[in-house]
Amino acid sequence: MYYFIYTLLEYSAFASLIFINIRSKTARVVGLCLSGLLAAFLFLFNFVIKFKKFDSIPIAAETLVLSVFAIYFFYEQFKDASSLYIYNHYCFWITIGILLYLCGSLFIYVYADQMTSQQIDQFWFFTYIVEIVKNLLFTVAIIVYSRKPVFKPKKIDIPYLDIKELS
Amino acid sequence: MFFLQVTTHSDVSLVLFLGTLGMLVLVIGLILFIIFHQRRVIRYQQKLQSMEIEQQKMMLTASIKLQEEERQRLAADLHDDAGPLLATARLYLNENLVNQDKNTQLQAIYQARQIIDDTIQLIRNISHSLMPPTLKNFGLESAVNDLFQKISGSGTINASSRFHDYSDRLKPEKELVVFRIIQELVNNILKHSNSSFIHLTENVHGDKFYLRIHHDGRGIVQSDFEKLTKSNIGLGLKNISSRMRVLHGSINFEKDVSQTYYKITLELPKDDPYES
Repeated sequence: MYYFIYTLLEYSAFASLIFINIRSKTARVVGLCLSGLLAAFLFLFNFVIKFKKFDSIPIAAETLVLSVFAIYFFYEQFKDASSLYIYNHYCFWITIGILLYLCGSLFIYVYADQMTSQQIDQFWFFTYIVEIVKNLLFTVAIIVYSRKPVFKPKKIDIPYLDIKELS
Repeated sequence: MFFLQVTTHSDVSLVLFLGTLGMLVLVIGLILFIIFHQRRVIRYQQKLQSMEIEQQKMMLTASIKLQEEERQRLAADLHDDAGPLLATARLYLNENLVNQDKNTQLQAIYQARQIIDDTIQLIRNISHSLMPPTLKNFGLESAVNDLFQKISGSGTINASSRFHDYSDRLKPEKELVVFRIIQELVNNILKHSNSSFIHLTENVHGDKFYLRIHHDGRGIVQSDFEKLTKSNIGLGLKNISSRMRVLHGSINFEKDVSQTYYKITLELPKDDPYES
């Protein structure tokens, strides 16, 4: 149950971070449908199919769906002729953080259900490394976002004069 | 899942190492491709933008230069022709005239009147060359026919024009721009081509308005026109190019299939008929 909730929450958080920066309405609808299908798959897998130690297949499915969202986000940025350098956009750093984290730890999570406890202890450190890399890239995203110029309306120096009041 | 099953510890290590490495290489490769491709696209767009700005600057400079030339020509016409004529007329009409005998007075008045008539004609010509009244009052067809008649009247070249279907006039502003383009093209032909005839025809086909100018002298083709509009020379051609853009039309310079004469085709969208 814990693994199901964790995977679902992780997917929701990552997907929503990418989703808010996808402009195409069709892509959003397709994304929502995929998310619904994935949620149903996670639910079924957790309660119908019994896994030994780890929900490897749901994680693989989550990685696949999030990779598709990430690639679509990059494709949209390519198409947008008005956009500046892609690395000036905070979502770029979030997306590569998510991609590196999921793809870097994919094989470990996929094999975790078959490995012994000893093997898991031996190789699990790599998931910490990719997690740290992900968090560092999320930090860069926060810095890039905070540096975005904020539009301040120009202060009008003309004093308010109500002619009617003067007369 | 069958293909992912491993049996020994070394198999697990190898698969994990290769798999993770492969995935990381793919992701990093994708990120680097995205960054470098985008930089290339942005650099290309910036280059296009700067070329467009450069082109616009050249067009603006050409337009200003042409304006200054026009003003200089006008100033020269007034200073060199009208000025001395009026000064001469003033000489005839000085205060000493009252002391002269009647014949001399009549002679002086007659001469002054002749000079003033010539000056009026000169100023009328200058004014007509700036804005022909025929164009405003009777439209493009009459103004062009008038222009070609004047050119033919000089005797140096055989100029004719024919409008096949101009029942629906263009808007006055459009007529003026088209007339200026025709004036510029004809001036260029008279100055540079050494041709023996110029013939203009007008046609309407669908929603397009066509003007074709044929001449048998030295001409240019479309590639020459494009080269000249991009270079520092060819101010008149740059002006023509700008005016055609304002009209949302196109101009094409070509040599006829028979290789005997040059053809310039102006294609304009036909707007709503103007009711005079």
